[in-house]
Amino acid sequence: MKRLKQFYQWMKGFIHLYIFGFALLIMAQYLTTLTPLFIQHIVDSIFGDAPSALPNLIQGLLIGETTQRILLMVALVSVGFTLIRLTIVFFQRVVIAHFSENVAYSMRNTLYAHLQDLSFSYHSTAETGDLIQRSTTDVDTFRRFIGEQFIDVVRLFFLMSFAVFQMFLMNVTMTFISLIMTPIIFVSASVYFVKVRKIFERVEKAEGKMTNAVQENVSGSRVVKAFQNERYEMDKFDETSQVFRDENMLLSKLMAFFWSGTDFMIFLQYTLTASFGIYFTIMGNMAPGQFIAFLSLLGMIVWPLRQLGRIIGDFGKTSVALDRIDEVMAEGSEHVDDSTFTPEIKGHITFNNVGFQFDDDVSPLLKNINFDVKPGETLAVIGKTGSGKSTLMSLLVRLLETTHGGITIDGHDIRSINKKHLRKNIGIILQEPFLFSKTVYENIGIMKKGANKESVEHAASIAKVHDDILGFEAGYKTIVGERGVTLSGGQKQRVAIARMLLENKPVLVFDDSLSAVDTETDIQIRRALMHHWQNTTVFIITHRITTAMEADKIIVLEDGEIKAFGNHATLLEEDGLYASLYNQQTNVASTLRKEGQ
Amino acid sequence: MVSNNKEILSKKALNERLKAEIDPTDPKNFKGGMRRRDTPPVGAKPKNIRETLFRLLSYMGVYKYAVLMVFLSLIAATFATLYIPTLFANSIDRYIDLDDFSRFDPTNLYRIVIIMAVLAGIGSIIRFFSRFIMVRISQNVVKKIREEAYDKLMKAPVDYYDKQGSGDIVSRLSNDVELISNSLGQTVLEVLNSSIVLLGAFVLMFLLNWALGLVVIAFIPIMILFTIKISKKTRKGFKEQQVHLASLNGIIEESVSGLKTVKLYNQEKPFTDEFEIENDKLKKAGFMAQFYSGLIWPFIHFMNNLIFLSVIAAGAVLYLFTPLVTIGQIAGVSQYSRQFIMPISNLAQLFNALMQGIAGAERVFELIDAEDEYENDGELAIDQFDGDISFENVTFGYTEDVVVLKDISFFAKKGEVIAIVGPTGGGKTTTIKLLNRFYDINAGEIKIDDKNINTLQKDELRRRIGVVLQDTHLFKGTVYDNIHYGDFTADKEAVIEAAKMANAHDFIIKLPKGYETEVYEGGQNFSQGERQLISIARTILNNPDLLILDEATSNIDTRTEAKIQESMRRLMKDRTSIVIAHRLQTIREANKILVIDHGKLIESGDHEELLNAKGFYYGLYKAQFEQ
Repeated sequence: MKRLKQFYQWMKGFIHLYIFGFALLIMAQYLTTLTPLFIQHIVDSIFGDAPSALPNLIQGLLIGETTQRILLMVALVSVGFTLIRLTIVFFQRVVIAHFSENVAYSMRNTLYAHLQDLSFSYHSTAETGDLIQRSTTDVDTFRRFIGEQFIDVVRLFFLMSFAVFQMFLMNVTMTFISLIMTPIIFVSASVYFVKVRKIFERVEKAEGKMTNAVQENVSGSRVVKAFQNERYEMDKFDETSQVFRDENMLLSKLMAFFWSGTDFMIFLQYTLTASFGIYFTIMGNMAPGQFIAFLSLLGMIVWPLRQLGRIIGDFGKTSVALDRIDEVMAEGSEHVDDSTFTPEIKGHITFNNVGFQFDDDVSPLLKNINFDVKPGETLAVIGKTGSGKSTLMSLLVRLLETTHGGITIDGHDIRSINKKHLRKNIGIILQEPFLFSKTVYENIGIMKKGANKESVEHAASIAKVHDDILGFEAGYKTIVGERGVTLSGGQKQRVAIARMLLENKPVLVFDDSLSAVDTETDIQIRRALMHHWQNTTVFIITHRITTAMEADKIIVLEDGEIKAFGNHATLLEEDGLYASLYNQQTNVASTLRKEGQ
Repeated sequence: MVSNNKEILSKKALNERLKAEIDPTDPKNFKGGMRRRDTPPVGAKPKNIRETLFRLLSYMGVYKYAVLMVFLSLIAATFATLYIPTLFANSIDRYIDLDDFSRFDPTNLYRIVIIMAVLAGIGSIIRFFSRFIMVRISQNVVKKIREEAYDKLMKAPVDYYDKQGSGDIVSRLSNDVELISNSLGQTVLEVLNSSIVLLGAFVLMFLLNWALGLVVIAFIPIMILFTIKISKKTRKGFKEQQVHLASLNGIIEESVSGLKTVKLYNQEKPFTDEFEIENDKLKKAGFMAQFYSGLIWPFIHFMNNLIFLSVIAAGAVLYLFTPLVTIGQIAGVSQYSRQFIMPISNLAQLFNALMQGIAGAERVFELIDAEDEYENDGELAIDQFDGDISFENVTFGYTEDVVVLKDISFFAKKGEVIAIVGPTGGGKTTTIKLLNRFYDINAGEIKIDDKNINTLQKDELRRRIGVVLQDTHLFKGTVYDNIHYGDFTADKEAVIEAAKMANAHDFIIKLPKGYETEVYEGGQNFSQGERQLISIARTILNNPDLLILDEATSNIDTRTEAKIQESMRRLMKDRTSIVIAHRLQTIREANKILVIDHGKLIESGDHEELLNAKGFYYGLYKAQFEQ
């Protein structure tokens, strides 16, 4: 029942199409079972004197003065019925296709929109490949099921039922004889498909292993070659290849047995029906036309039986797919219950006792963070990898929510401000900026649709990436990102800065965003930016001391706590972590300078 | 069945393709490499059908008698089954007197029924065995092809990997091999089966009654024409569906992996819009594909019935007015008439599957035919290098026409450390790749201990040169396995000793499972610094005579960096080393500094000399290390 609801929930809105499709389907099946009866009618009723098995309504059409005329009528009517039946089948397919494609379409849209709304913390634990699979492959599994497999079940069920019904009307004993083998065929098909699925999984696993081996050795080819381990890798591959072949052999052995085994059972059933049929016909218990019709109807029952077993197996697969989809949908959107408050932001930021801890972590990532930055000031956060620098910024734009304390902007608690508004006003330049698979031009102008050429190029020159871009074959029209030309880390960072230059933001965060640029260019860019963003509150997150030292305020972060606070001069005097970092990073340079003098 | 097969096949192909396209664990997909990601062509047509086919058949050479047997027995089986309607017709004519049922002799009829059952039984047994044998053969053949391809891949020069791209190679080894496997195991048999049925039914039908045969034949052109037309449309629809599905995947992948950016820049709406547009296209393509494939079955059924009825109608007329036909023949031919349409519509689809298989085989053979870098191998074996390295007027380009390095000459004495500095893209990395012959130079000579490296055996050469790169590749497996990779003959103590030397031991034992901690693909669960430490341990274990090092530029915290520096220094001790240097300390301690820019060696000398020369190095030094 729960399953039914789960299935139904996605079909809502289109269910009338489905019902209509089923009605057509059932009609077509009934008409199919009528076809053999026309022959029965000719043989038994026209040439013989046994009753016709056709419904009276149709018999009424098959009249004429001479036998020839009647035969002609039978031919015409049966052709007409076939045409009607096939038209119905065709329309049924169109209706179902329309239905299933629409369900899949709306499912994908819903899922995708939901994915975008899920919180950052959800995404930081979820795997990209897995999410993609859920929103396309799993949806497709469901579409196939409702559009093909389930339809097949219903179709076969009604075809078989109608065929049995027609048989019953003609000869009850013969019907039972004709159905003797059917339970055996059905059970063996079901057992077989359960078994085959297991082996199939093993085959896929073996295949995956093989593909992995290839993939890994392709990306690590230099290492393999440098250590001369080609032979070792070949042997390893041969092993997996062997496993794959063996599993495959097992699968094909099973398949061969099954298909020919059931073939044999079906032939046996035919032989049985034919033998008894002939016997009954000769004994006069059955008309010859009925015998012929029985053989045709039998075909409608025994062949589809094998398919049913498979579809039952598919049902399980579909449930799993739906569960995976529902799992994503059950995650709450981060925009639900979001505030609508959108104040003008000047950039006075205060952290009050801020702490943060992931649900499943034992210790907090950040604790007792207190500081205050006024509009136009620059604050540098310096610390080692893993000290919590980047988490600090995620909290500021509510990618993550503080678990302790609070953050205010211009006196407003950020939790009272609309998320999108907050993000619009705080520009963050990431250490590993993400470029979309669009042109460089579009990537720079991403937040300002339709930005003109001059302003984009101007931004690019300030960020010192203009010359790089002109060096590409297609200049600003070069497609970059995952599916285009891959830029170097430094180029990406500079594009990200150019992006930010197109808009005026009251607050800016440089999350180690010049780390891949050489020191000289770093300084040049920063000088240019200082000038450009005089009235902006700027956060600089870095592990380079030279980047931090010019800031108005400096925070030294270690293990999630503020270890020291001040400016370059005061921190040096304290002789703590900052001073030791400073010495580590600069002493070689300064002693050299002395030597040089 | 066949239409099912095809669909499974194409779905699988699609999956493979997607896997290759989105695999987030493939470093090629996300970092490095100034190339577009390669996506293998879907449904590409083969270029040289005959040659590829013959080559494919030559793999079956060992099994030729078995294959021949399969073919012959399949023909026999098909004829056995096909003969049933003729038998049926004859028995009606011989044993049933339409005017007088009472003269009917049931014993003869029973005999006929039993013969039919036996024929059918023999048919299915033969089919079972032939299918079975064929699958066995094809699995063995495919295994052989796959292993040959993989062996070649291992022997292919680094250059090959660069040119092909990982997506393409992986697809050749999985996707394309799978296509061959399907073709050999199923498609060939089905084609054969369908052809025999078609031909057999044709011959037997005419033998039974030529006049009725002609009636059936009249319909065949329509059937062929229609089937081909529809299947073309359907295929186009499915192909379009795949393309749209792939781009839909692309959008999801992009917005999910760039989610932080999407959210920070409020880009949810544009992406959702883009997605809906693409999704709509997918829906329409899917509907059209189903629409056309929906036409096929009603058509086939209709034609089946139409032909059946035409035979009966024509038969009735001929029976009543001419002596050309008997009742039995009408029954027989009407049965044969139903055997035509399936093979015809099957063949249209099978032909495509077969072409796909051949195209797949072609791509795999291309890989097998790729260059083997050990073919033009040097012959000189070496026990050990002393460590004198000299570059003499070395000129090199990845392609013939673009020269990357020009006229580089330098000399390193045994035990010396050579630092290479210069701007990114100037040719530093290229220089070090030449020493172990990942690439062969165009002009000049590289010598180790006064022997031209081209005359040395490549694997010996590489075994004696240790390489630690910036972006270290770790393999799936444990940390232990990864270090052990440097020398499989080493025992556990040696591995741990190497890790200690490399300053990696401390962090390794702090891992939850120590040396047995699993490394994920590409080593994502380790930081870049840790990866480099492991890689240094691997190289220490390998105990090379010469060293090539590439110092990391960034993203490594100060303490780890100090550890790396220290372990690198241990590694370099007493070994001639060439280092791409970014750290001032390394540069200062080097015996010689080479400044390379725009592919040329523009300055060389030690630190003091270069500073005093006040040239390029002086400028570089000022900019990078002084504020």
